[in-house]
Amino acid sequence: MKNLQLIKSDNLSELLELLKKEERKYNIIAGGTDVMVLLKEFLIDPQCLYDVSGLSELKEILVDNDSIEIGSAVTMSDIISDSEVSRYAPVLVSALKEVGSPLIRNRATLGGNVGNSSPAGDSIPALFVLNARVNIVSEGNERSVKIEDFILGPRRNVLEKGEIIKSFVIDKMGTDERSFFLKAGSRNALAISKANLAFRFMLKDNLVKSMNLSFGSVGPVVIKSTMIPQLFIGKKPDPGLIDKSCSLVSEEIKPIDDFRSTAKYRVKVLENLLRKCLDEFC
Amino acid sequence: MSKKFKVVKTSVEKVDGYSLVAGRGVFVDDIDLPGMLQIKMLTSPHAHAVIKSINIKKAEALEGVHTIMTHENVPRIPHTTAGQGFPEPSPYDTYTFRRKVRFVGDRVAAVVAETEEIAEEAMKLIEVEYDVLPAVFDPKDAIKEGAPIIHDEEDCYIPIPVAYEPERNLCAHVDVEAGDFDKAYAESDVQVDREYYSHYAQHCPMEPHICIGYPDENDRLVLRVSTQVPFHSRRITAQCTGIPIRKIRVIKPRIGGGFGTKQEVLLEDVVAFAVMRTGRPVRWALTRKEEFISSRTRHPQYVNIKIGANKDGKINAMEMKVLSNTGAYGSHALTVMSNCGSKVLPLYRCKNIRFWGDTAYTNMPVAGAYRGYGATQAAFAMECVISEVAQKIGMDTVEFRKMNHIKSGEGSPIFEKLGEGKEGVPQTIGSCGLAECIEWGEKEIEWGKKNPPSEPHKRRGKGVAILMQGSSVPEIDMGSAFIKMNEDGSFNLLMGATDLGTGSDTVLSQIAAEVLGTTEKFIIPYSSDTDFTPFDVGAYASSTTYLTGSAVLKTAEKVKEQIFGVAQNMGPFKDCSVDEMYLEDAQVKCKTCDKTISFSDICNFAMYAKDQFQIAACESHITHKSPPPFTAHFVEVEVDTMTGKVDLLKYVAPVDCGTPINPILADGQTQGAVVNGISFALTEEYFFNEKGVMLNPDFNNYKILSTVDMPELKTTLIDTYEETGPFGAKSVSEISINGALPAIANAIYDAVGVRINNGPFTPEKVYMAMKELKK
Repeated sequence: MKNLQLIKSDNLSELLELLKKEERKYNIIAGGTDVMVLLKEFLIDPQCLYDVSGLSELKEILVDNDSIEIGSAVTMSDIISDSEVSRYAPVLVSALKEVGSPLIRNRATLGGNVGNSSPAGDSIPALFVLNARVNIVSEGNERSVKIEDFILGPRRNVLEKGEIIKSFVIDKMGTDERSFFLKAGSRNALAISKANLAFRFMLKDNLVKSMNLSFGSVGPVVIKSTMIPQLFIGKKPDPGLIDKSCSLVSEEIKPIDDFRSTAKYRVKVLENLLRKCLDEFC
Repeated sequence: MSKKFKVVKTSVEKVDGYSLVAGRGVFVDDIDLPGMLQIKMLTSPHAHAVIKSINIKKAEALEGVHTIMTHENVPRIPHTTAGQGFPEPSPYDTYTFRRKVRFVGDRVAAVVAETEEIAEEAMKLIEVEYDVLPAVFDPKDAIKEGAPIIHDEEDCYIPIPVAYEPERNLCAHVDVEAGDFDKAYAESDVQVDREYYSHYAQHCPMEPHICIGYPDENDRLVLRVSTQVPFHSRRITAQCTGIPIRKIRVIKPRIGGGFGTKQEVLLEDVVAFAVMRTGRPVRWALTRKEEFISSRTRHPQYVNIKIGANKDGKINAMEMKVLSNTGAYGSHALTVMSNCGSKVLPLYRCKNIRFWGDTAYTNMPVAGAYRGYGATQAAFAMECVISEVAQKIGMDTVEFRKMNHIKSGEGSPIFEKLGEGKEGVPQTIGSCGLAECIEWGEKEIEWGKKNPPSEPHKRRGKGVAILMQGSSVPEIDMGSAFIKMNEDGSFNLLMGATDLGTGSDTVLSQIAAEVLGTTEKFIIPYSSDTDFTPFDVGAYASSTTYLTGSAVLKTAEKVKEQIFGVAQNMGPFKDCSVDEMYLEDAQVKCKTCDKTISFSDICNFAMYAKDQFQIAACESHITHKSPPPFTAHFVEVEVDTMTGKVDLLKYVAPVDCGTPINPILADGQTQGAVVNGISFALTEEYFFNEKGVMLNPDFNNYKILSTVDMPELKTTLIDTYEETGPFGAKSVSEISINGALPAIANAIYDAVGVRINNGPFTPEKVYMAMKELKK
């Protein structure tokens, strides 16, 4: 491997300042579980790496009345073992448990999974249904974008030069809400999703009060379903509606054939995963 | 049946265990020689092309580049990379460098440079002009008229008298028949005729291929190689380079796994040339990517089985037709294909048997030896079809197997007809614990009991496969051992047999210790070094315990005789006859008097007292049989009807390997082989694009099973005693890789009613097959 400079700081403003002045090609690295693989396969070619894993500002989980803020450099293992996240955002914990293996989750971060912007990143569909906002910082500036606006395409996002992800703000789910994360992979660990979905809903008086649904690994980016929630909201779910909603899956997703799976299979399996979720609330 | 032993049949500690876990075990790459150069190989981007021109001037001019080798400056000597006995039953169709490249990953030019990085830079400066030829990827297409001819060179040939027709891409052919298959099949009540395909796979040893070469102080060439076959490595290196055998020394240090891929002489020729040209130490290590693309794979095969049976359950006729894909070169092309028949067909009692095998050249990665060696591919087809026949008759699939499987004292016409590159050896089965294996497995898996699924959309099913393998290649393979005694009563045991992580150093030490009345702690095994250890064909064909084990046993017997002879010359034993003497507790003892002499005293007397000599012996062994180990694999699966994912709930593998010399090591071989087989059956897969480029040459995208994927695995060793083996032992290493494909396929059928005839059983494949069924 060629020579690469690693720049690490424990001070956020110092790092942002360095980043602003940086003229070389760089990548941000936290746990390195994606960056190291991309480097090895020559899919990225930076001259230096900025390591954010030492920034304490990025490693906090803050809970307030109706939202949770998770620092971008908090490891997945730490999120999974956080009791408040488990209680108020169980769908995120379910999704993170599907990522890689324990070894990977001990290093990988939420910021890395989103920053890598892979359509197969397991955390992203969960963040979609939790209406996550991405807080972005750069020297002297801060901005916040919705998760669905953050990702532009496979491995492309809105981060500009000098910017890093600081944190994610997600909804705190109510006690009357339920959620699922379901994934089809080839083996029990270290398997990239062939297809996955995150699902969150609330029933009140047998009527669907709210519903969020998103699909991963079945298009260039994670897809937020609009048609299926529209179909259900305000209605009483019944087998007819469920059949109809499953038939809408193929209209909402744009899967491809690759060697992990075929498009045809991805559609079918997502229909089935969705049916499994919907059967739960009938 | 079982006999009393002291050291054998005991799970003594692995002799190199501590050193390995402490990180002291020295592998090929654990030495760093001053001034060592590095090799990188430029390989072909085309599946089939003639090299029109190759310009290395710019690359040679790069600082740090020492030499570059191509087909223009290296002698062209036809040989095979298959590390088999001489003359090999594989065609001489390979040259160190070739004018024509035949698969994506074929050698083009080797750069020898100060560092790997410089070598990689230099590779980019080599200008190669290719004349791209049409390529053929499927063996069925390859043997059709008009297909591109892959080996059209005039100087390739096969050194033994067998069919070889490269002019129509036919690398090997065998057909044999016993009885009258056609008639018997036609007259059968039930007929099943099915084609199965078993897919590409790689061995994935932890340690990829590596070779370090250097000139010693006498200008002999020393090669440290990660090899299963040090003596074949020496012979083939001599053949390719013209260096006389006496000038080559091959050292096999600790090895990080082989599974057959290191029964190949893959790197040594280039390293030898590089050492000759530079006079410096040279290292060539394959990366994992190169290991996938340019080393060796399992032979993918189409296997067509026809079975005719009567309603009463008797098998009348069996036919196996194999079309094997050897890729660009014919390493093990003939023998893997013929092994399909010889290790699978004899399992069932049947008079009318036909075997037809073809091996085709294609422009695909090169296949070679891989654990199971054809039996894996053929057992998949056979055991699925056997179940289907039973179901058609209306019999339980286990009962049908019990009724038809071979038993002790029985033979098979296939043993005699089908050998390795020639006719086989007639044999009858000696030890056979297959019935006991089936009985144990049935109980453990609760055969016949249908368990409820864990969730409503899942379905459960159970499957079975019974298997046999062999133990060494009879009348062909030879192993030998050398033992000498030291003053403290210890013994050096020098063997050409290669422990590649299998534990054979331990097992063979136990055999020596058992004969010599001592413990394995007093045996100092060393394997292998062509300068110091006697010849052995190497670690393949499930042979080491059975073949080399017998050589060790014979050698130890000779040493024992010498010890008795010395004892008789010593005061206390003057009046004792040799017939009365025996060895126990590292002492010579006498059955009639209670005198003893320690080994230490024996050796000191022999070395220093009177008629001095070195107590030592060397014996060789060949086998006249290849006694099969047996096993019955049972599996319970749960298939998710929503995703097609197959979860293994329980896998049961009782094995009859005769006497397990070291039960824990034997069981470890079984567990390892089972996991290897499950991984092949469920996830391992090569993906190619339309140009023959492998798309997933890394562990990120080529999935091997991990610990969390393991089902509950129950193994046991069924006690039998093989009279022809050392202390009753047979082989154990290969057999259990063959069960997963058919047993899981049969279980999937039991669960969801679909027969999957090609691996791996991915969620997509199973799901789509279920959809088809619904239609």
